[in-house]
Amino acid sequence: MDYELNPFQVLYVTDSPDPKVFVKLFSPVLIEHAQVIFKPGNVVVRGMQGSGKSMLLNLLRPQIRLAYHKAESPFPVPTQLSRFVGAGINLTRSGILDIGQLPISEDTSSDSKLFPLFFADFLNYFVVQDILGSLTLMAENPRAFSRLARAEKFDEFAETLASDACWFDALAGCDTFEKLRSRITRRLASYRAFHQYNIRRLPDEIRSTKTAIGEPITRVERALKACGVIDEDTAVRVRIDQVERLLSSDVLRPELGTQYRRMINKLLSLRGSGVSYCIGVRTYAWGDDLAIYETDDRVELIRDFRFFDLDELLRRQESQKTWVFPDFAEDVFSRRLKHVGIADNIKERPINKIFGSSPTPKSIAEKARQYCKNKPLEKIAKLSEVAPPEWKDFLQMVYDRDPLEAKLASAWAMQRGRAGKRGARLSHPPPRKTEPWKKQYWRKDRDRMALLQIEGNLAQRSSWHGASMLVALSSGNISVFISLCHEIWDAHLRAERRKRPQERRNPIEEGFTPDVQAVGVQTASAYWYDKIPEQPRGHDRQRFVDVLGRMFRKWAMEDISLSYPGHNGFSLTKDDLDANPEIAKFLEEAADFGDLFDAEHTTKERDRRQRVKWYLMPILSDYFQIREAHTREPYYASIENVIAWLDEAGIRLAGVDYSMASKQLKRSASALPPSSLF
Amino acid sequence: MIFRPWGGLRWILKGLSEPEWSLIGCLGTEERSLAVWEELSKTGKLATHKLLRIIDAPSAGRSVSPFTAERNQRLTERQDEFHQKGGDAAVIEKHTLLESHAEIVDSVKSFLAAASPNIVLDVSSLPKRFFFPALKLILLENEVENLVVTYTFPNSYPRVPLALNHNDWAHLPLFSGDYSTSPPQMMIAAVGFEALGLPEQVEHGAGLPIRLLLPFPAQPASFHRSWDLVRKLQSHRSAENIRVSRVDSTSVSDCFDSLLTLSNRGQIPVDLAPFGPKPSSVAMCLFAIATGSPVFYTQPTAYHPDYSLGISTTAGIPNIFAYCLRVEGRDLYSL
Repeated sequence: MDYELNPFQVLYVTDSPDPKVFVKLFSPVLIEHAQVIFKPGNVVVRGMQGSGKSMLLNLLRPQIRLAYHKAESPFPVPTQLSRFVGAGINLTRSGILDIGQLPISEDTSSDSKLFPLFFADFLNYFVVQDILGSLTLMAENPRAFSRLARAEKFDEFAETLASDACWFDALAGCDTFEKLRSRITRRLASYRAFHQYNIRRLPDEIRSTKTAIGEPITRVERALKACGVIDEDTAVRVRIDQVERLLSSDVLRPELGTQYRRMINKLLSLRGSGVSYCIGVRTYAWGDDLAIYETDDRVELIRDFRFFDLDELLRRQESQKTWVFPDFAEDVFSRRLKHVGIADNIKERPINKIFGSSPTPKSIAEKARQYCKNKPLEKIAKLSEVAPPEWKDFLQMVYDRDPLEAKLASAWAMQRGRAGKRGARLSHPPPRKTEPWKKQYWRKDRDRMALLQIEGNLAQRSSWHGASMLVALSSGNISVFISLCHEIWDAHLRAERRKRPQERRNPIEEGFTPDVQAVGVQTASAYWYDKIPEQPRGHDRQRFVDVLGRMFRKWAMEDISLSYPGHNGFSLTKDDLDANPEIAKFLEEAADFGDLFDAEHTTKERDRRQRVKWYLMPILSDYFQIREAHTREPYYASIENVIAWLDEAGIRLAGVDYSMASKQLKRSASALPPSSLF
Repeated sequence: MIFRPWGGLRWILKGLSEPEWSLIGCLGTEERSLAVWEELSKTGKLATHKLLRIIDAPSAGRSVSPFTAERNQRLTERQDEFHQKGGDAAVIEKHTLLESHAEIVDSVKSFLAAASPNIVLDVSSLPKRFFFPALKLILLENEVENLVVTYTFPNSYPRVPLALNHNDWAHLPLFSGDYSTSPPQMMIAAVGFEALGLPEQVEHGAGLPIRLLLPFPAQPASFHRSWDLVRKLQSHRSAENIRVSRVDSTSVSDCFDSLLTLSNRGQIPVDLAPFGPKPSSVAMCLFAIATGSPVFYTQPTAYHPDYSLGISTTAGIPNIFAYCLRVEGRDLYSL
């Protein structure tokens, strides 16, 4: 065991310049669930930042497939789905978003109509160029690509393609593959040169030969098959990355971004195309603008495209059996250990063994006992004159035996109960025989909440450890899971280096201690908090997260009757969100960047209105010292509550009436939970 | 070896001995924003000039910056100061921080149309989003015989976030790179105080090997701040993939040479990320113009009103460094 080596030092597999390393660390677990990406038809791959969209879409790149071949590892896509030519465009890197930044025509008033057409033309040429590049790579490495592309047919293909009417003679005379590539490169270079002001005017040959969105790409696919470059059963799959830039970025004027997005919609709506498009986008950034450019039609789910939702796949659903993330995390974890050679013979599911079990009711009670040693009952259960002596004596007796139980019993006593009045339970003797606070349904979720209050009252820090808790903190985000492993491993190495070699603990054999895990989780939590402003527009979101985190902590500490275990999140009606699009957009962007966790939920209120609930990302639980679980009913917030929180965070969203916030803040002390009986 | 003169503004102007200079700069919230204008005015060599007054623009449908009100107030006060010192209101041109490339280009072109052949571009308070295209457009102009870039050193920087709510990783206006250039093999990032979106790109970007340009030597407080950022950037990348090169943060020439060395005189295609001091950004800009390299940045949507404090002086003279980029029609920064 090397006590200097952390297998999780490098967070992301893309860091490695060595394709063999990429191939070794890449987990194929998701691929069996993501086969829709490799099947005919258009797919929109949705997921929050860091959810693994790029990792999946990378499998369409021929360079990655070649890396598998060079590493002598089988390509993880099933053979029957791996007959494809992959190509794509990254909207940021390609420079396509420059279109619209400089006037193109002398009559600038007509530019706004021309920009989307040039956007389409650039996209066509860029993708076609990338297809040609992929074919070249495939032909140069026939064994890696099962001889999918035949180089001897390239020139015939070029001549056929160049003569197609879709180019308006822009490729006339290109009778060889190289001439074709060169002509396309020249056109793209002209676009770049113009937008960098290296040439003053976009060449006339471009202005007069603009192509229709998607048409040249379709013709390429047909010509490839007609000329025998690829077989009829070989697909052409095109990635379009960073579509969110069209709608949620300041790079483009909003009206122009909308037109470009509609042009992408038009691409998806093309009939009779053998090309499949894969679009990677943050969940909410896909938006609801499905209009097709310059038409009254809209693209339709199923007919024109399908969703592959990574968040849905990786987040915990109702059934544990269908939850993919634990298997994904196990595989990623095992691969890292094997890669650095410290656990070649590791068993299939090492996480449980190495991180151990998460706190049980028994261990929670024991922890409470340790904290409360030599401390008076009043430190954890704020009793006052209102509490009858009989109850005080009873709680003291229980406290002497089991402080956690005393905390739970006092909380039960302070609750209203079914339709009861506040304090009603205290007017009766303690139910010594039935001990309702011990019943599982009542205790569920309240054990840890009670411990959190005990810890808070006794100036102790709440801690997180154990396999299932680490998975819960990761909340379906593999980057978070790897960073947790990284920080825990680092904390372990720091502790072990101070010991003599024979006293050192081998985590593979003996696991990590809960204390070491707690330190690692604390560091990882702070890391993810610090990362919030590193994401676009993140300073505002970090202040909002601060307001929520401090508020949830306050609620958790003040809820001494443990009545609201779900109030580490809030819920809004969909009606409220629809009526306040700027607030909805802010919250959705926070979810897209992984600062908030959102989920639809059904209300228990009589109005049955659809609601969305929002929590802080679980990894921030340690930072704010709040529970990570998303169980029980969240706080049912009004839109005025949310405006007040935004106001407190100093966030001024356009179109939001903040006068509502000041009124709400005045009311909030009484309106917000929880209330205390004592 | 080419001699690239740089040093105090007075010394450079004396050496070049041109009778008049046109100035393009920025009227900003910082005290230093007017220092070069004042110096040139005192010498009597100030010809046509233009100062951009750039206001924060709330990004579409998003929040107004918490700094906006104070920044606007400070800009008004700075403009009053400009008038009191004899400045002409007509030379101030209003702009918004996130305006289109075309508006920036038009502004620089209109300046050039009336400018003398000798130009001073003062980058002290100009955001990169403006001075990168400005420098490129000026260098493209053959009529320009002498070009000097100036930078005024402040007394200090406050220990607060200097810029907020940056935008997505995107290239600077007119710097998306030549299409004919091969895919990048390396990213060279200059680091300074503000990380903005650089850590996210370093950890989660294209996985390119990274070379960090660390300002050294530097004042201890500044060095600690930059070094903290370097350590942060290095924490989650393999050691062989992220290395540090020290560059003199006051010397455009030193930084330009470092870029030449790292890129094998431009033979290795690189992405550039100017997150460091202004002189290193100027060097990156010149290198990008010479090689066709793309320049990426995460543009803040708001700057702190106290982005810097005061003006650094020596014996009562403002510490304004001037860098000669073109002398008598000869470009000093090329491959």
